[in-house]
Amino acid sequence: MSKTKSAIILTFVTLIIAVLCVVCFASFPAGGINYYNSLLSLSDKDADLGDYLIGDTAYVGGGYAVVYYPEGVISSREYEEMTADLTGDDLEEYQNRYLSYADGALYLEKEIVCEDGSDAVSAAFVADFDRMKDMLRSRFESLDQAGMSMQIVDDYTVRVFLPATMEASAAAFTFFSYMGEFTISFGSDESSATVALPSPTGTARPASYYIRGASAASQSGTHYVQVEFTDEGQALIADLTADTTGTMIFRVGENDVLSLTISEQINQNTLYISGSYTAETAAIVASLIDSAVNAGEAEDVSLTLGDISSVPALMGENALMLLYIVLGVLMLLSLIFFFVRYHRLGFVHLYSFLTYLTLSVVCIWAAPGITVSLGAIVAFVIGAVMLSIGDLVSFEYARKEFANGKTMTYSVKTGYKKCMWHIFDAHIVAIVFGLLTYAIGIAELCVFGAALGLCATLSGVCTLLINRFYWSIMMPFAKSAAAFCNFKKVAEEDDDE
Amino acid sequence: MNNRFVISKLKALWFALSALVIVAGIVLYALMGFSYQGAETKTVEVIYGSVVSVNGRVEELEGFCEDAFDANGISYDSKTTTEELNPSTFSGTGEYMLRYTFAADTSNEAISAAEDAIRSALGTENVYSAVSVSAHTLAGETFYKTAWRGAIGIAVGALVALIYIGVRFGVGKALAGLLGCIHDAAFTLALLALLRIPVYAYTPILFAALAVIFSLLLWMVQCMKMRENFKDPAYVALSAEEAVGESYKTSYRIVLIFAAVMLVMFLALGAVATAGVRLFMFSAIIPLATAVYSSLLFTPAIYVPFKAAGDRRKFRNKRNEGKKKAEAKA
Repeated sequence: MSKTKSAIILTFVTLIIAVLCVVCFASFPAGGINYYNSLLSLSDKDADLGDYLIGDTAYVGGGYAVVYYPEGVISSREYEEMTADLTGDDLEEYQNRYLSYADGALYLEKEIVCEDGSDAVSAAFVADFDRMKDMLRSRFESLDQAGMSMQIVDDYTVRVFLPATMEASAAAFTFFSYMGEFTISFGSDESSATVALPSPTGTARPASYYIRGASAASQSGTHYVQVEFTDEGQALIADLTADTTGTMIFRVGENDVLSLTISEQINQNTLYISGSYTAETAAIVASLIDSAVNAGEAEDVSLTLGDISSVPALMGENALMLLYIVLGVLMLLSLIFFFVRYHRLGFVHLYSFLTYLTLSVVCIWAAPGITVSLGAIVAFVIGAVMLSIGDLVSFEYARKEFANGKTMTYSVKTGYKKCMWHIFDAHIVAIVFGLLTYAIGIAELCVFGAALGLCATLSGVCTLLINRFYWSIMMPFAKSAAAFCNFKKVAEEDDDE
Repeated sequence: MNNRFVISKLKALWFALSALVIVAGIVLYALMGFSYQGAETKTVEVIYGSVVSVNGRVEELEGFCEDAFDANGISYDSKTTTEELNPSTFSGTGEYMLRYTFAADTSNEAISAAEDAIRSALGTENVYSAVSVSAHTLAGETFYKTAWRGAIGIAVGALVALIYIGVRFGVGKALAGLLGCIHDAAFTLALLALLRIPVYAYTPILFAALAVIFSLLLWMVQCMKMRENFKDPAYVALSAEEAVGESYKTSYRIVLIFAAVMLVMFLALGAVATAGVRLFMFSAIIPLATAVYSSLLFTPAIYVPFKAAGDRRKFRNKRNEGKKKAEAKA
């Protein structure tokens, strides 16, 4: 490649990398109350990590937590607020109704929670609570959210945490608090709708006799809930909607989940319900219907939602910043190694590395499934190490060829040819493993797999293609190619010794 | 000690060590499970309204709490302030929760006494009238789906990668790699259970994935070197055991370099970090160390019989071909 051509391309590449670096890493005030936030700061952070955008305009990361109180259980705060407003007999009556539990952390309503005439929690309540807890767990588990957690607080309340990356957290918290039997009501309007399924007359059959289940799906960007009926369910719904138009309401316990306007007979085994659903809200509604159909019972304990807490990064306020600093220092050390060992050839590695770094950030920002998490950072590190070792191996192969008396051009060509399959094999294995764990795994493993697949791909492209391209455009500037790369012929090496 | 000795003669030792660790890990896991970080914790929660923050009394409030903890001889693991949101509107209620988290073994009496001390420190001052203090005990719940889906994902990912290794380097190396991957995942999980290392809910499955990817990469280094070396005529006369031992001499440095670089990464990322990140990064050394152990000692020892069988088959094929040629000539 001629020197002029190289100069033009190198300038162009340098400009692109510089712009990408600014776009990816620089956040700055842009006049007044406007701020420019880097792609890295705008990238989704998982529940463990998080940081404020510049100007503290918003927090990216962390998540939301809520406490569910079963019927008959209230918080100490609610109890204190109620007793503060009461006096005399009312106060005494209220106090007698409740039993302090867990050193006053909770108050249990004796009539609902305790055995008749005693202060012991009844076995029936414990069983109801366990059923409710299992149902909550299965509903939240179906969301496959990385960073989600569930805890039992003071034996009889449930705390659920969802990451901020889930946009429909509030809907999940609210819908999943609906407990009880699944019913379908039908009537000319909402007020006159009566329960049609499970059939209120004749043999009592559960909703699962009529409905197989519900799931979320999407097609052409439209998200919907599909409810699959059994033959009996299909026949019942067909009969119900045969001659009349009206409103069909899906309920869980006393709570309306869906309200459909029916204008023609429904006679199909699957009902597709679309609307303003996002992928998340469709999944929430489908999960709720599915669990209520298969496990909901009329006697299920009802739940009350406490306030939602906005929780910052679980790993600590400065966790992400410290990780960035250490990663920066490690990258710098790796670059110093390359400059010391290969002199100006170190620039080739520098440019390859910056390309890898900026493209990784752009992809992490753009890809919906990847968040900045500890797993993703480990995947990024694996990709960076593979890139550095790949560059090192290709430089060493070329050095060996050059030492044996080949010309520089031939050494580079042969060096790359000899190590290409080694580097390709290592990367392809990491890519395959990453993408398959992403496709099959869920939650954190899915994020790790996606990040590993992405970083290994970028690392492979950078070390096999871009690295060689940079070498070819930088080499023409060197007066002595050998000095540029710090390569020596065997004879020279012997002389040095 | 030569490499052949390390790989073959001591293989009984490596197998016994691995079996011992894995069996002990399984037993301990069955009895006690993993030592989940924060699986059981205690908290003291102080909810205050905007009247406290507007009057700049948050630091004072925190001071009351921390003095009360000191006075009762307890220390918290973490402190967070969260904003309370209305569940219907998802907008701020104007209240904040100051949450101190304690280890599960913190005395209930001390926490209760600290709770009382905070209440009395708040006194009857109007600014603190709506402040609520409560102590709680939390027990974590496990999501099983994450574990089994993750296990299937890792298994499928490793199998497909090993099929590629089989195509590129031979079935024997793929089979040895498969056993190495299974060993590494099991060994890593066993060590987590045995050493009672505190782990987050997602750490075991993530570390199993890390062990497998490290195992695949490091075993591939051995495979590449073996393929390169076995082409050398000097290796033809060697037995399977000797050939693997000789090849080992040229590959172990690369394995150690990769491991050393990753080790430096994990140590550096863990050293300058918050406690949670430190725990994760330092623990991530376990899958790395396991993969290094396996690719240097365990998997080559497993591969020797595969190579021996392959060599025998090649020899038989050659002999049959020779016989056929001789018969054809006759």
